[in-house]
Amino acid sequence: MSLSNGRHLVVTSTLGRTVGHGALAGAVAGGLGAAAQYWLVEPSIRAAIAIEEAGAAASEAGDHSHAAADQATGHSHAADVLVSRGEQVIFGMVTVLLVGILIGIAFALVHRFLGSRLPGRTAAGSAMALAGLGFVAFTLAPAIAVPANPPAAGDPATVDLRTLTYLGTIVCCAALTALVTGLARAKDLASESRAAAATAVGIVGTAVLIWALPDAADPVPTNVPTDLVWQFRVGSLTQIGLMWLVLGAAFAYLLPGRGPSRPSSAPADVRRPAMPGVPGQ
Amino acid sequence: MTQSTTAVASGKIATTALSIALVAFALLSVLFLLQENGLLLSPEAANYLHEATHDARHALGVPCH
Repeated sequence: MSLSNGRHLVVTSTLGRTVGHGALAGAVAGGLGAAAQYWLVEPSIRAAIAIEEAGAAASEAGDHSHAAADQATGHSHAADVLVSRGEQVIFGMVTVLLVGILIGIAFALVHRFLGSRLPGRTAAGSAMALAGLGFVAFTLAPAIAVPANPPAAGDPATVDLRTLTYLGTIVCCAALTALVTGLARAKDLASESRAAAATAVGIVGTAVLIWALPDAADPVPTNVPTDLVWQFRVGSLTQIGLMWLVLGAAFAYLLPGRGPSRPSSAPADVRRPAMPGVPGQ
Repeated sequence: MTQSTTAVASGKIATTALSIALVAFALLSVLFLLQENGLLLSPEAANYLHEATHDARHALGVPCH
């Protein structure tokens, strides 16, 4: 299934197998992510919705109409809504599972396509490296640019700018990550120039992104405790970080060429002559 | 899926193109799932999807109201 090409394993399984392994690893990551969401993030979402509903009830009691209150919060979480709270929790976990599977498929294909251009000595090592890079570009960078907010803390008026900034950050940071990783492994540069070039581009690129990306994050409303927002953000980052970690590890585990079939990990085979070209030695 | 089977059979470049298409499809599906605002679905269906995926959108850090 795999050939040794210098220092890196080149995996030669079918495209369908790669997609299947990616989907399976993504399902494992998504399943654990859903469990993490239930235990780590849902308590903060519950608390935030309670604050949001208290705010909506207060404005309803005042001179605002119900429609105006609904408009202000974007959507209401009262009992007469489209999807009940219990359903939102379940569907939310199903969504995380689906997102895990889809990201897993994309992850597996990128890993297959980039192959030995990724950092890491083995295919399993490069899967973990890719998961780390994915966490930086797709999770950490947008979390710094537009930090995750619990339900009560977002302003509907700024959602378009926040969404564009979020997607723009992912695109720019994925490109920068690819550039830095590519430079760090460029074959036509001396090893010390590679490190210097990658570091310099990483620092300058990050500075440019910080300067260029709009400051889109909403201020936290006064009725939302900052502790709650902090708890929510830590919970959210933990959940997504766990998903990347499990995705990389599960995909690495599923890779063909792992274990006894890998040439370098079969040293116990004493019947094979150490130097096949020199008989009788 | 007959087209994709043909693409797999016809060599490395087709496989690469198929891979890129699949990656794009997977990422766009994630975007659709979390950010569909009535572009492809009817307003009612989009609203239902928005409410159903509500908790995941917040937890995954995707901007929301």
